[in-house]
Amino acid sequence: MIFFILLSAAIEKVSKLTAEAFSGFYEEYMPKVFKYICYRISNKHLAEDLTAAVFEKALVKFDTYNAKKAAITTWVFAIARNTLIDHYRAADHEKTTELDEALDLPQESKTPEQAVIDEEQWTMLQKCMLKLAPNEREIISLKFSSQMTNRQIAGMLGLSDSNVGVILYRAIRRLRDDFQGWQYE
Amino acid sequence: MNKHNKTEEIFSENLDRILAGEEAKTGTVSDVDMLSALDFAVKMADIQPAISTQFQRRLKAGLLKKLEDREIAAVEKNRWWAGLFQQPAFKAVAAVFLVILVVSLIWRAGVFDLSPGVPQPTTTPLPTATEAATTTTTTTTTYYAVGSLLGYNVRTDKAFYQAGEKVVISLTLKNTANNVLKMEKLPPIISVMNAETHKPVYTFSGGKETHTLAFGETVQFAYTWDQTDFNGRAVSGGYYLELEDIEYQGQTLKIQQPQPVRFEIKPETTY
Repeated sequence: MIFFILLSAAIEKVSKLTAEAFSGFYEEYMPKVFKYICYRISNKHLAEDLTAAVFEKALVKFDTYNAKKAAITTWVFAIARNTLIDHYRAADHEKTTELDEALDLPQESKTPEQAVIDEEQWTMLQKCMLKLAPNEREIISLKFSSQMTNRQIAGMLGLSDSNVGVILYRAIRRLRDDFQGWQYE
Repeated sequence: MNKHNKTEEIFSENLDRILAGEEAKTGTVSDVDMLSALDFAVKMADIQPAISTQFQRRLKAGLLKKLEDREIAAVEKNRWWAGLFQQPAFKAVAAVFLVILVVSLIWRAGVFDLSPGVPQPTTTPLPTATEAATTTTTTTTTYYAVGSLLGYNVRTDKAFYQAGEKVVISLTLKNTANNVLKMEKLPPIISVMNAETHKPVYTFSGGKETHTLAFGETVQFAYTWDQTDFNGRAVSGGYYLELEDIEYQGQTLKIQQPQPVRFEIKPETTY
C-alpha cells in the first residue's frame, strides 16, 4: 500500500514537470508547425485543424520522446509531415488547391495597408509554390518554417545534404522568377 | 561540379543566417543570381504568415487540459489500487485467508490429534488395573484436566476395528496437584457411547483399587471390550469413549473432554 502511495506522489510530480515541458515545447514549435502547414495548405481553418492534430499527436507521444533517437525539431516535423500526408490521402489530392479562402494574416502588428499587401503577396507565393515539384515544395516548406539545417531535412526525407542544398537553391530561384513574373502581370 | 557545390553551400549558409534573423554575408559573393535569390529569401521570410493569437491560446489551453485529464486518470488508477487494500471487503477476505492458513498449519502440526495407538490388549472383559506407575511423565502424552488435581489421557489401540476384534482402551491418570493424592475406587467408570444416538452401549464398572500418587506420578488402566452391548449382542458402527467424573475425598473431580476418543467397528460381512 505504501508503494502505491509513493507511486501516486511520483506520478503527480512527473505530471507537473510534463505540463511545464509541454507548454515550453508548444510555445516554441507551434508557430513553426503552423507556418509549415500554411505553406502546404492555404485554407485557414484547415491549417488550424491540421496544426491542432499535429500537437494532439505530439501530446500523446510526448512522454515517450527519446532525444537520443532524434532532435525534437525533427521529431515534431516528422509528425507534422505525416499528418499532412494522411490529410492528402484522405482528401485525394497532392497540392494545395483551396485558394478560394485565402489565409488570413494577423493584423496586430501591421497597418491595414501593409496587411493587405502581405496577404496579396502570400497568395501569390502560394500560387508560385504550386508550380514547384513536390519535393521542392516540401523542402522549401520545411526550411522556411522549421529552420532545420539541410542535414536534418536530408535525414527526414532520405536525401543527401548536398542534394537538399541543390534543391533549395534551384527552388528559391524558380520561386523568385515566378513571383517577379506574377508581380509584373 | 565542385563550383556548383560551393555555390549551393554558400547559398545554404546565408539562407540559414537569414532565417535565423541575421544578415547574409554576401561581401565576397559576386554571383548576381545568388544575390538575387538571397534577396528573395529575405522577402519570403518577411511575408511568412503569423498565427492568430486567439487560436494559439485556445489550442494550448485545450492541450494542457487533455494532459491534465490524462495525468489525473493515471493517478486515480494507482489510487484505486491503493484504496483496494483499505476496502473492508478486501480486509475481510484477507483475514479469512490468513485464518485458514494458520489453522491448516496448526492442524498439520498435529495439535488436535487425540487418538494415537496404544499397545497390549487383555483378554478379560473386566477392567484390570496395572500399577505401571511411572515417576516420570511422557513428554508426548497430552493430559486433560480432571478437576484441578488430576490429568487423564485415554486412547484406543486402533481407530478402525474389524467385527469381533478386541477394542483395547488405555487410561492414564496423572497427579497434577502439588501434594500426594490417595485415589480410591479406581479405575474410574468408562462408557462406550453410540456416536449417532449418544447413548451408552456398554459401560465398564468402576473398580475398588486404591492408588497413592506423588506429584507428577501416573497410573495406567487397561479396558478390553469385545464389541457387545449390555445384552451381549455384537455391535458395529461409530463410537466414542466417555469417562465418568472421579470422586476424591468427597469431592467430584470433573472430567474435561474437549474431544472424545472415537473409533469405528466395521460390520460383519455376510455372503
